[in-house]
Amino acid sequence: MGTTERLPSSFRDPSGHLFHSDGTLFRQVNDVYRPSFELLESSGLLDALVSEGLLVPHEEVSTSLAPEPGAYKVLRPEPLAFISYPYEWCFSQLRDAALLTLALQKRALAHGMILKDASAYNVQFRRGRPVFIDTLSFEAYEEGTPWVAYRQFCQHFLAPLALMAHTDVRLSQLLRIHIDGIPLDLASRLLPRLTRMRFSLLVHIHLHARSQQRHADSAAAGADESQEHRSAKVSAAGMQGLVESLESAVRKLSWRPAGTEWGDYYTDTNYSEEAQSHKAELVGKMLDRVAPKSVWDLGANTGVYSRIAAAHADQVVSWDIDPAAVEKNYQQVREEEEREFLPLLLDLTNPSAGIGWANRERATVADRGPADVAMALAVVHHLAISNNTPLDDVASYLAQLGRHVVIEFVPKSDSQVKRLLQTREDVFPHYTREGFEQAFEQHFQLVESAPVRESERRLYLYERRSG
Amino acid sequence: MMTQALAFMALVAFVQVFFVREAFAYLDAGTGSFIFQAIVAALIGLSVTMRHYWARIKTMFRGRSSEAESTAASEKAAVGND
Repeated sequence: MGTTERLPSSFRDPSGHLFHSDGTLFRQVNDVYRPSFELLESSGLLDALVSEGLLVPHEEVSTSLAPEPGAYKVLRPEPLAFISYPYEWCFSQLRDAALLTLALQKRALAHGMILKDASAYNVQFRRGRPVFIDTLSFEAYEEGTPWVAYRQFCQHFLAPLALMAHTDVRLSQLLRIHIDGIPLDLASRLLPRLTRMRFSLLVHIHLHARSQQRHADSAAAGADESQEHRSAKVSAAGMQGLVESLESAVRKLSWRPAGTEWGDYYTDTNYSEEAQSHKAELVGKMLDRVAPKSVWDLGANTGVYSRIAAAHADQVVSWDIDPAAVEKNYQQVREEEEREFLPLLLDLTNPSAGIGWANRERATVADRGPADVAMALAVVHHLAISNNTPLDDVASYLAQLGRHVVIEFVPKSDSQVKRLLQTREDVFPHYTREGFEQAFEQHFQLVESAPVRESERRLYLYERRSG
Repeated sequence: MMTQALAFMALVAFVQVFFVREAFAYLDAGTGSFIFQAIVAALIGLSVTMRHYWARIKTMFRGRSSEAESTAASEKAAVGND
């Protein structure tokens, strides 16, 4: 066997873990999980979930591949094109992930099983739809016992969704700080008082937070925690009611961008139709030359050029900083059932960092790359001028994100750049076509470049210099 | 809202009686969340049952013709309380 490496995020659950062996992802299932896995198969739950597309399918392979002792099985899950995280999702993506988790919980209960965790990190997007990836999240349901993952569901899903819907959509970024979901006392404080008038939010967030506080206080006062921690009884009907109440709470949450016309969002361009169609044609031609498997469109807005890229690549990640643009993009993916197309939230000037244990549990954007092509259309002026990033640093970071780069240079004479410079001193003497080309040629080799007709912009296709 | 909150407080004492067994998992369920969940589930269960009986009483008064309506009512009751 070649190199084997346990995934840095896979250490919490003693039931098993994920590892890479020679670039392939496997899951070791431990002996301790045998009874649950047997029930998962014999109850028909596994087949039901996989055939409905709710759970990632897997193949069983030889246990001799197991890197650690105590292996009961080794599985090879169907690979996913891209791993994304809840703080990169728009409102509807997190909402769909929440509903998927509850759908799994319902199916599990109907088969005599229950979800033993409800982490948003167990959901990924595959072919435009959310899918559950943790095959080891199921255990036998014993009537009378409460749902161990109730708190986790509220922290990972309900609290961020309620905050996004009722306080501010940007609060999804609290998930970057709180890796196990948003603490309910914090959510309760940040939510408007009016949300106490909604039964589901009153109960699952506000009163839930108060109950946690009360028990924390009594534990601090020296109360016997083990006595306290004995489970209270929840009948099967109560469990069903609880899950349905959570589902109803999630379904009632909605978010629409304030102050924008949903229909004509993002028509704020300064160039002609001719320029636009020529730019699209050039992008298509450049991508054709590379024949990429994966494309990352950085600063994709609602995904106009990502969709052009999708015609030339197997999989496109469509990144944008604006939650409204990502939301609209995702709505379109859902409506038109676009497969292998993933809209995600990204601030390119502060990209998703490595977080969690040893900063390695959740990977940085660059660590999840490089893509075959990173596209940066109408972006460079935002990085170089709005964020003061030297062009050399822009080129060096893009060389981490893509083996090739399709990039548009927008000169100072362009009205969009003029607008950025209107309210500030021009401290960018090197922001010129020559300065741009010089910076990029330190990290890339030019494949081709062409001016965009009826505009002052220019498109470049670069290939990363090896080493 | 106040009555609902009071009902919760009253149920706290009620549910504490129903401790049945230890249930430890690799995930810490949180004592506060665990106890609270039992209260919520009991309340929701109670409300589903009450609505179910209420629907049956209404059906009794209206006659057998509205059986379909009764089913719809109990389905609605099971969905939640918002």
